[in-house]
Amino acid sequence: MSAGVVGRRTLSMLGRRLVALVPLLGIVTLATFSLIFLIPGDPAHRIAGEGATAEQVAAVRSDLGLDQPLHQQFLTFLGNLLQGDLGTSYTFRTPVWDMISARMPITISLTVVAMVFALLIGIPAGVLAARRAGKWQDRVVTVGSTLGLATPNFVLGLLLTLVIGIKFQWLPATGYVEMAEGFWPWLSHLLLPGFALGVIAAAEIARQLRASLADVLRQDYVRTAVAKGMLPGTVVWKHGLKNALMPVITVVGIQTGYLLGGTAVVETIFGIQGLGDFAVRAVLAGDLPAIQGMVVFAVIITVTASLVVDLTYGYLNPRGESQ
Amino acid sequence: MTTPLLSVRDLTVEFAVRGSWQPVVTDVSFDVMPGQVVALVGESGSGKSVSCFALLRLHGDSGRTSRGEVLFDGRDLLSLSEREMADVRGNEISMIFQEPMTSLNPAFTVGSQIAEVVRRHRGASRAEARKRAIEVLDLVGIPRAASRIGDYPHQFSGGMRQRVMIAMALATDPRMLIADEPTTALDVTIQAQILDLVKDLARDFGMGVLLVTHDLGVVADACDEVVVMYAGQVVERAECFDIFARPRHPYTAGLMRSLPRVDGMGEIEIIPGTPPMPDQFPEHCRFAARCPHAVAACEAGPVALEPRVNGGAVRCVRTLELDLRRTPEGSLA
Repeated sequence: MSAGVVGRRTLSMLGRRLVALVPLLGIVTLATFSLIFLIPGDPAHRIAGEGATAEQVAAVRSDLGLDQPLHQQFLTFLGNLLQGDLGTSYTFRTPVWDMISARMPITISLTVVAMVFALLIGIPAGVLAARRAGKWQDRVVTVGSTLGLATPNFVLGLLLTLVIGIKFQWLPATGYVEMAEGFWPWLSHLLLPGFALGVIAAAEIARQLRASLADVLRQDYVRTAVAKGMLPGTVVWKHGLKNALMPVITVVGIQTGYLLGGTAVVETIFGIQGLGDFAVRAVLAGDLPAIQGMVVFAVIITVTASLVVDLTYGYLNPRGESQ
Repeated sequence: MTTPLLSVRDLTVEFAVRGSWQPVVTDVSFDVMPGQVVALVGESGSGKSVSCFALLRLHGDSGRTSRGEVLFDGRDLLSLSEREMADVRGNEISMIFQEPMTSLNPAFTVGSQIAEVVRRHRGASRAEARKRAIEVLDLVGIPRAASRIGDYPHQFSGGMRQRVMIAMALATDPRMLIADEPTTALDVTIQAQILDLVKDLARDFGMGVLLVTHDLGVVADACDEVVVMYAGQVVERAECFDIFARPRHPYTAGLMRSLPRVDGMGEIEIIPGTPPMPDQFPEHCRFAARCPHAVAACEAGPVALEPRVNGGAVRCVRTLELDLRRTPEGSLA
């Protein structure tokens, strides 16, 4: 299994994914497009404002191309998309791409912090539960993860802001500070929202890891590792974990999408002006280009996450490579 | 006479069954000398694998050793701390298992799995450990060892995987090898090669070998001493040739008769019935219920393991009265 073979496999997978991305984007944007027009009310009316005259509304409509037939509007949108142009937001009056790229670092920071929380909590908890399967530690993790899954992140978010942010003032309650202003100011603003956002993923990771690792630890090769004198830590974290991580990676991939969705709620609660906040505003305003932009962005992130997951499978499971 | 490398004394292993501790192996005693291959023989469920696992304390939480000693070089393994035990495993005593297909970790290359044990016990550098991995793979007869250390277990056949397991077991030059039915899962030709390899290693390196098997062909082929187990007890223990020539326990004799003979002499006989489960072990002779020679005395009380004619030990009240040779005297040419 030379590096060249792995490299070729990786490249061909990458190529296939990129090709598949094109029809996928077409379908998803068409679906979004159709959904928007199911929303009652005339977008031109909304954009022109409450007291606008009929002429003003008509002007807005022709200005934005809303007077053209639907299929024409969609094709125009697609054509622009292929040229990398996501259009201009109706409400913000700014190119959608500029809005997204300005807010992207904020949401990515939040998502990364949330995922780091999820892994830092989920993996040790899952390992502990699997090693102590059936004992009290296992039960504590099971109850904890059920609680984590059952708590909506807006409830947790509000609780954290109120208690830690406002009552004790240990961490900033709301807002966002760029990393350029210092690492700690940046991180301290992300800890509460990141935790609120990451808890569900942490619980999901802990449950998956507990199940798969408990099974792996009963395998013959784990007994071999013990029989050759490996210390318990090496047996679990090396021999066990590498085999148990497959289902966990799948969960991480899926959770990346959920985290992105969760930012809509969490950013609103914590007053963070990221993409989640942008998406909420876009939907409330019926701002079609902005919504489409967010959808395209979400598709790209999701496809990338699943690509990373697949590449990780290859590393974790060498048997897949030779086929 | 040299002192034994491994001396097992009255080993009793219990397992938790429905909330109570049930003895599965009772008072097992035997010795392994340096360079000697000792066979542990018996039907499935006789406690031979359990005994082996107990020697290295690998039976997990559901089992415990309630009595006895496992003296390795005079040191009782049962009284070591977990950490000290981990230093013995894979270093002074190595073990190979019945299932070569599942005993290697599928996620790591065979080279790294061998190198790992060398680094753990010898404190070797990466390069040294890698070199040693190639050396031992070569020793166990893996062709092009240097180019195969980067391969994963799924790229090897069952026989080759068992060789990898043996290579891994030998990488630290252990003084003792425990092999739990190492050839059961393999083809007959591969089986012979693996056994020859184990025999050679015992002879060339003075390694003591405990070979668990239910295959008497393997015993006759490879072993110096035989320990026969039945229902968690040692029923007979003797030098290999002697036990084949003249078994002194009806169960051993029964095992011999169930072995087909090339010369076609004698019928193949099976032992009727099945061995008792641990929760049904009787107080008296555990084989009495299936023994063709059982009399009232056999069920009178526990039977002790007594010295045996021609050396060894046997657990049978009638051993001196019975002639258990396969071919009755007189018809021998």
